[in-house]
Amino acid sequence: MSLIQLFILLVVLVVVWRLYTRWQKKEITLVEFLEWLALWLVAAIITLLPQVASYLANVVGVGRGSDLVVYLAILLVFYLLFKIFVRLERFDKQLTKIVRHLAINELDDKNK
Amino acid sequence: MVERAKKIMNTWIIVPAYNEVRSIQSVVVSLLPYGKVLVVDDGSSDGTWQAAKSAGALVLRHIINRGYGAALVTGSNYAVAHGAEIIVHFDADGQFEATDIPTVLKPIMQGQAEVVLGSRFLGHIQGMTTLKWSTLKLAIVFTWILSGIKLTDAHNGFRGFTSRAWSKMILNQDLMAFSSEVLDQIIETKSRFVEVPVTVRYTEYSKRGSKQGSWPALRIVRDIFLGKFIK
Repeated sequence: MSLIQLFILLVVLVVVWRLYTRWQKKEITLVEFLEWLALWLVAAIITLLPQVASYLANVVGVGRGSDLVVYLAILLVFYLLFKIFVRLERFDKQLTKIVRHLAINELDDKNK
Repeated sequence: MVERAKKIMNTWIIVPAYNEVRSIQSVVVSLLPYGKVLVVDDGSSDGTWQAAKSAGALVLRHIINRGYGAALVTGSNYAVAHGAEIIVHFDADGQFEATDIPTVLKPIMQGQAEVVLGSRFLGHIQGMTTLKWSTLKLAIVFTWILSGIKLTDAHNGFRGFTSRAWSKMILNQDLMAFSSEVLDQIIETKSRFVEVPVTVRYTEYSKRGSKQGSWPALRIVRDIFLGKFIK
């Protein structure tokens, strides 16, 4: 096993452990836990068996396995970024609603 | 004319204000003859709220800054809920003339329009920089393309609405892109609108650094596109 494989596996292990504890503390739901677990398991499998990525790369017509991994990783990151962005927008709207509600209540209470 | 406006229709003037302690009192005092003045203090830290109140305005207070559009929606919704028949939007930095309010109210009271938009290019402009002029002209073309509404002034904060027209609009933009959203909603709700000439006076005070960063126009364009993208 090369040093980089060892390093990646160590990172995966730490992340999975953190996921597990967060699920135990009910900070994330079971579904969320399983989703993230699946993602990191795939990462672990590809690290241990790079030929899997190479095989898949061949199937879809990408030169090297590591290229395929990078492409997919970038897609995933953009997707997550988009999701976070949408959620932030929603928080913004909700925050405005709360602030508006407080402002109106304050004035109405005074006028009672 | 003024007295008639007050008697016939319940007019509320909404003034969004963020750290405008230097101008807010004179603005409120100038507006009081024309209707009920409602200042929305958008999380100011300089005592805008006390200044507006002591000048005789009703004041709604956002506990944190939520932006120009958010403040106008808070104020206008409050006004409508408390019996306003006409809502006027007016800036807190002293750029506008309170004496233009009858001009804005007239088309509504005569039943010619449900929404009235102030236009500095139909009216008078004092002390505008070339950069500001170019940006505004660009905004007019931009609005024409995006909203299909051809105006002489696209980003003017001086507006009048009947309560009915206001209540039909769905406005989500918290920041400056609010102004564009209003135009979109005029088309969407098929509200009858008209532009009237108003005076805009740029002073050293009103020209001081924008609170939205150095490129507010770009921010507005960004928000318009994102707003159309994420419904």
